[in-house]
Amino acid sequence: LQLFEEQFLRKLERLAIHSRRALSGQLQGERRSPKRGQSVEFADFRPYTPGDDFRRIDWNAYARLERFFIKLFVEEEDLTVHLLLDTSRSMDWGEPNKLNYAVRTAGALGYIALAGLDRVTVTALNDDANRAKRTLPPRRGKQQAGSLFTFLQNLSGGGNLDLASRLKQYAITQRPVGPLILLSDLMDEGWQEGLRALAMQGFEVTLLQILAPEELDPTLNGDFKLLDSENNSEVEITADYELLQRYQRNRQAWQSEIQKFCSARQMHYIPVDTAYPFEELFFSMLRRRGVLR
Amino acid sequence: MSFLSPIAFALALLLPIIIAMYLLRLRRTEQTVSSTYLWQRMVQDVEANAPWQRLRRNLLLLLQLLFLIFLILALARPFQWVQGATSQTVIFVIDSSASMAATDLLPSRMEAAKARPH
Repeated sequence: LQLFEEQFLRKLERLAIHSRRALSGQLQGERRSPKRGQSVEFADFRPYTPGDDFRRIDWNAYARLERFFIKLFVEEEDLTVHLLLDTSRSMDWGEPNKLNYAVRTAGALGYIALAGLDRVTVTALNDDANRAKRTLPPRRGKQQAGSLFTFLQNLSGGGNLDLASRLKQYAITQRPVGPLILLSDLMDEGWQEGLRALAMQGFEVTLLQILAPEELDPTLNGDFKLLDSENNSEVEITADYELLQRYQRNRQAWQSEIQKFCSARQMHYIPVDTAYPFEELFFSMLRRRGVLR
Repeated sequence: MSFLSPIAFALALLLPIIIAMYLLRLRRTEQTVSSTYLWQRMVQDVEANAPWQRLRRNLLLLLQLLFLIFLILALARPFQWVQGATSQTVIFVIDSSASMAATDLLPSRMEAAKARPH
């Protein structure tokens, strides 16, 4: 079972995850860091003080000014890309399946980051007791793609999710901060609280809201008792044209509420329909929205 | 208490029919959706909360059953024997013409007529 074709992966290597800010990383990489260090890109001068490495004194400046200056360069470090995957039971639903789509998206995003010498950590948001099954600790380098894909393929949907508390916990415990991509259907009361916590800790949040066509535009007709797949709440409806119209309006209001919330906090909000072609998502939509470059 | 036409109680068979129809009407197609989050949001701004709704539906059933029960009782025509407590004023009119003095009834017609009301 293979998540992607070789050809698709090769095309992905041309992309990179875009980071709006310079963030400090842990190892030498290809990202601008706020630190000063060694690269070819000049950053600043600083007066020499005893103890500085005198190999870095700029002798040309000394010739002109007869004072010692240290030449500083931009440090380039790696970036930690956080992938958060909602694997609650509500995600394992729909035609095409939402969880499947989310797993593939996470895989491709992770691969892009690995290929770009960034670190990748994946966390499945569910209440699985087995920690190893829901967290992939930071990985680096393209040769780790295999373990990323295996981890993702072993994920299965199930359980309930308290989005607010899980995101809050993640925001507090996970370091270093970096671009964070949350893949969820966001059908939970606590989404605002959770996203706020992430933004507050400095994560650059991208929200991919994955919804199935049946959720965007239900095609029910008749009397139904709708059962929730996660908790056992139920709603009785009599589906007719008027009701479905109202559902649509409600759904749109909900999504524009999310949109407003996200743009106020400089998050990317990207609603994704699982019927949307997968390649288009990467080579067109995510680039257009500034998540990928 | 007794009933003039207890045959009407046969109509009581209609009671289970009403209940059965009610249960049938309640049975909706069950459909599992990913989350009722959106549906609930939508339903909330249309009608009151669900427990009250359920109660109101049951209230309707209750009223229908009560209506049928009373209807059956009425059709069975209930009655009850009770001690009559009322008296009536009876007016006796006695002919007082001379012919009443005839003595074919003893002592006379007049006297016989007077004795009758008692």
